[in-house]
This record gives sequence, C-alpha cells and structure tokens, in this order.
Amino acid sequence: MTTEDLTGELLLLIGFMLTSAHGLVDEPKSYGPARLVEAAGRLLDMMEERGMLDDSLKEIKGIIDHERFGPMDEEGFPARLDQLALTWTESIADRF
Amino acid sequence: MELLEALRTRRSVRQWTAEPIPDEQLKELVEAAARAPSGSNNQPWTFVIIREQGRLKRLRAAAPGIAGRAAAVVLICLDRRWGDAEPGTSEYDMVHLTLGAAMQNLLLAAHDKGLGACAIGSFHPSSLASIVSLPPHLQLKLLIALGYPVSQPAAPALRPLSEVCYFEEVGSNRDH
Repeated sequence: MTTEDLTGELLLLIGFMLTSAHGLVDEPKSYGPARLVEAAGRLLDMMEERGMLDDSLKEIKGIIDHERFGPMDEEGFPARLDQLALTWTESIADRF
Repeated sequence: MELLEALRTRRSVRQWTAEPIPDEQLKELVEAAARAPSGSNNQPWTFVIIREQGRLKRLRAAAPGIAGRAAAVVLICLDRRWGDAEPGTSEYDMVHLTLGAAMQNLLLAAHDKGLGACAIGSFHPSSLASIVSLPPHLQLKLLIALGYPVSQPAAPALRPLSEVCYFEEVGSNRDH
C-alpha cells in the first residue's frame, strides 16, 4: 500500500462523510448513528488492510461489521452502541 | 429456484466477495427488471450498470447507503421521456410504484442466480449524476448494489400477518 493509495482511500472516505451529511438532513434519525458506525468501519478496513489491528481490535471490528452488514435491527441499537463505545474506550486505554 | 422459496429466502445483502459478475448475467438481471408491469405499459425506466472499479469506488463514496464493496451497481432511473408526471398526481405515484416493481424483479432475479443484492435509497443525486453522466431526462431513484455474498444474513424480524392483513374489515382478525 502506497501513500497514494492511502490518500485515495481518505478522499473517498471524506466523500462518504460529506454526502452522508447532506443526506442526513432529512433521512430517518437512526441513519445518523449508522453512518458514523459505517465511517468507523471504513477506517478500520483501511487499518486492517495495512496490518494495523491487533486481535483485540479485530474482535471489535467484527462487532462493528455485524452492525454494518447484518440485517437492520433498530431495537436495541442504542444499547449496542453504548456497549460498543465502552468496549472501544477500554480496548485502547493501554495505548495512552 | 421456485418463486415462493425465493421470496422467503431473499435477504438484503450488504457484504460481497471481490468476484466480478459477468456482463451477460447483469444484462439478464436488468431484463428481468424490465419485465415488471407498468401503467399503460409506459416502461418509465432506464437502467445504468456500473462495474468498473474506479467508478464503483467513487459511487460508494457518494452513496452512503452502500456499506460493502459491491461488484456492480445498477442504477434505476425514472426516464421522463416515458414517465414524466407532476408530484402529487396519481400518475406520479404510479411511475414510482412501477420502478419499485422493477426493483423487486431485479432483487429476486439476483437471488435466483446466487447473487446478493441490496436496494439503496441513500445517495447524493447530483454527485451520482456527475459520476455516470446522467442526461437531464433521467432522474435517479434507486440503486441496487450487487455481488456474490460473503454470507447469508439472518432473517429479519417480520410483523405477524395478523397485524398487517385483514379479511373484509380492518380490525377483524377472526380468520388469523
């Protein structure tokens, strides 16, 4: 992977964020959190492809990917996000 | 695949392998879509198939509803040459229902061929129009993202039939 590849992927991610922002003005409320989870997933994809994820982060990525690619299940989504945020916070604590 | 079995087992698939879909197969899917019924047989659609990698990447960045990396995306456009109507009119409703029928045909045909597909309504219209050079008479209404599924998603929860179907009078569910 070259710097040029990374730049291209980041440009695409920024495009995703900007077009998401436009769409979310009048899309269903639950799409907002889903787009942020998707953005997190895309960043983790980029890190995984560059060998930057340890087993712990890969495990959390699996949870995020389930939200990205599994059937939409709005019931319990806020609770799952709450747990996901805490799990992430704890998983990176040792690095700082 | 038997039709009712296909209806029962179709899922919205959002994660795909990198395997490309042959052009002939993509054309078959669109042919199935174009067999949908339409009011006055006006066939108010034009389909645009995207399978070139660079364009797919740009499209994924401008269509936030596409989660995974699709092998192809079919754009379903209202073609104003054959289905122009003012919002708020019954004809306007009809052409949109017609496009929905075409969408369902395409989804089922994809499932029949072992592909996974997802209908996408979240996209930035003018960005997509720019990416595929849409002429003004075509209005993008839906995307179908396609590919070979990584896995078969679990069945989504459905409301029981007794909550969504009635015989004779709404509220009377003695027959369920």
